Amino acid sequence: MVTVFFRTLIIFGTVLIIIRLMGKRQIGEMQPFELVVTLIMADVACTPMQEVSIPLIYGLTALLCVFILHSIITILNKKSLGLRKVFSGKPSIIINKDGIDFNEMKKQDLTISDLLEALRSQQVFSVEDVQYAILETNGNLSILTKDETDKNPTLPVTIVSGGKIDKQGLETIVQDKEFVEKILRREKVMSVKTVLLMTIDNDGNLFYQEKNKKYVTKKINFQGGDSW
Amino acid sequence: MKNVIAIIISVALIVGIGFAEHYYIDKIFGDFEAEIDGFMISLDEGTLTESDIVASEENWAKIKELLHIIIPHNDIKPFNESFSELKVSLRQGDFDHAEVELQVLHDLIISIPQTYQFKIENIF
Repeated sequence: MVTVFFRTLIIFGTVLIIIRLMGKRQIGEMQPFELVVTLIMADVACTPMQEVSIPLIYGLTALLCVFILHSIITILNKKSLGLRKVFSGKPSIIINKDGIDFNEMKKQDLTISDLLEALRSQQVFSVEDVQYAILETNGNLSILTKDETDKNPTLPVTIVSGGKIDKQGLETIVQDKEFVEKILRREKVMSVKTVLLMTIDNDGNLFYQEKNKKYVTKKINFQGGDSW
Repeated sequence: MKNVIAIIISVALIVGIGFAEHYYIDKIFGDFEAEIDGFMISLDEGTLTESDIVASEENWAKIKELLHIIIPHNDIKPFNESFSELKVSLRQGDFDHAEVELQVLHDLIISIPQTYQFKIENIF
């Protein structure tokens, strides 16, 4: 019994340190790979706690390996938008200006009941009231209701994220890399690498922020694709 | 940067512990094999006594304290059983059974380190 107690103390301490190193997100909304990490950690931690014939070092080594994998994926997620999509997926617009996007729902294995339930949990009881509903990569449904859209009628699309041009965002607004470069030249931004976030909506409302600088918002002459 | 340092330290720990484990197990079981081979020769010559086994068992008791950290306890248990049977066999003059037990010990010494080697069959 005493052995199990001390093994539990050691495993608990190690898991706590690793969870702390993984950051706050791990205890809140999780990305798919974070859920995998958490599920594996729960199992890896429990086995050597209860099974006294297994050396504790086996469990600790496995925990350390899971931590290494988590850290590597986190770094890769920061470095590459493509890899971020592989590991975390991408948000899906479930409800757009035209209503429910059936094809997107099918892709996400989402039923109408699931959608209505998610809307109700956000105090929205009619699909009619929704301008946009986005299924986030952590499984949450973000909703922009029509009341809120009076001020901001279209959804801002991310075109630069973490110093990298978001090709998918540019495809959404029917533009190419040159469009971003033109904005950067006009705004006297040295390089796209310095831009933390740049979004634009269909009315030409541009938002961007460079690293360690205050954000900038302005209206530019832009009539992009009106499909988003 | 914090992540990179944590990864480097973790990988270094795992690799370092892995090499230490590999070296330690090879060394311990290599020495042990030589000792058991010596017992087999003594048994053939009829000079092996219970006190030789008791001395070896005492040595094994010290070694296994550390081995328990890296080897599942169930893998260490058969050694204890073989030592006990070997002692009783020699005490009773049952040299045939003593030979069997020495062979069991020898096979355990060969097979256990192989289980911990970095091999495809051990991974899957």
